[in-house]
Amino acid sequence: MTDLPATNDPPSSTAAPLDGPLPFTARELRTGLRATLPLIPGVLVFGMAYGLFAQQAGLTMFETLAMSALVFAGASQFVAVGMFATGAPGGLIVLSTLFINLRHLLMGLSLAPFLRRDKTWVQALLAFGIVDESYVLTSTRWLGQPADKGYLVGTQVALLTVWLLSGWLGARLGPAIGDPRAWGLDFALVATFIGLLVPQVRDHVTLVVALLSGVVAVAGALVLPGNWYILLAALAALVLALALEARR
Amino acid sequence: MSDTLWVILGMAVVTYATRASLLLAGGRVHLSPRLEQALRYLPVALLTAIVVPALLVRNDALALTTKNVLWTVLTGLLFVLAWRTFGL
Repeated sequence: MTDLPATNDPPSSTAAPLDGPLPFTARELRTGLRATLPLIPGVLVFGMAYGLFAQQAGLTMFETLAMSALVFAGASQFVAVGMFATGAPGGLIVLSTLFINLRHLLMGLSLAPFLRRDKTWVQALLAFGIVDESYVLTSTRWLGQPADKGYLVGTQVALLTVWLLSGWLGARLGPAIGDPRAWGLDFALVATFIGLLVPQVRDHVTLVVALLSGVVAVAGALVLPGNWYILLAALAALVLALALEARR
Repeated sequence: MSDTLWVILGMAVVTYATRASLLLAGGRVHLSPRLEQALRYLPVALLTAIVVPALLVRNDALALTTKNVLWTVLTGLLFVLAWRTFGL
């Protein structure tokens, strides 16, 4: 094959290919892995706190790691472990998990346009690793330059590896650490998210959307039970973003 | 298999459903360009919705006393944001 353009080529486009699946390159895989490195300390500490809580709640090492490997959603795992500790019924734990993780619906919707030309099994596989951090990193990357599955997979592999390792470490070191809250370890995730959030706010619209989301979230957290405020605030912010886009 | 493992499996199923359902459906349903544009703001909206209450709400009440170090941190963050955005 030469690089001569064929006569029936579609007009060249700078964006992702419009007629085929997203590319998957080793270069973007490495970039994704590297982009995740700054998040690792926060995820590591949060994962250790999870492992420790799980052990205190009476979960075996196998159960602790199975939850990390199969559920792979930190906040809901934290809540679930707390519920296991108080002997809550299993159905209620599953229901709480569903509610806390409803926000992933929006993330899936937001990535769908990029992945719609990929095979269904590829979409299904990538869906497993849509966590807050991989989603935020990847959607930012894909909006900035041609999308590439390698980047998403790189962030997912790095995060899942650290998540499993830190859960194991926390469960092993448990007794030596004591109560993770006394060390402020439960704040590690929030600190990581602040690190992700601040560089994203680059223009007025984003700032306004963020402010509304923050205000609605605080109001919701005061009034609503559980974690409903996250979904409420995200939806309110999306509606505002829709309105602002319509005015452009 | 222990009861705990069954619960974990249930958690895994519902969590995966939240991740995969709209991603898979979104490939078949056409999103309006406006919605696609608005979804660009989702990362920021989600992060803010998680971070701000974690900083400001304690035990279902606003923690607004000066003892709250996080308020100080947030004020500083907002100040830097305002500085960079509006070029104070």
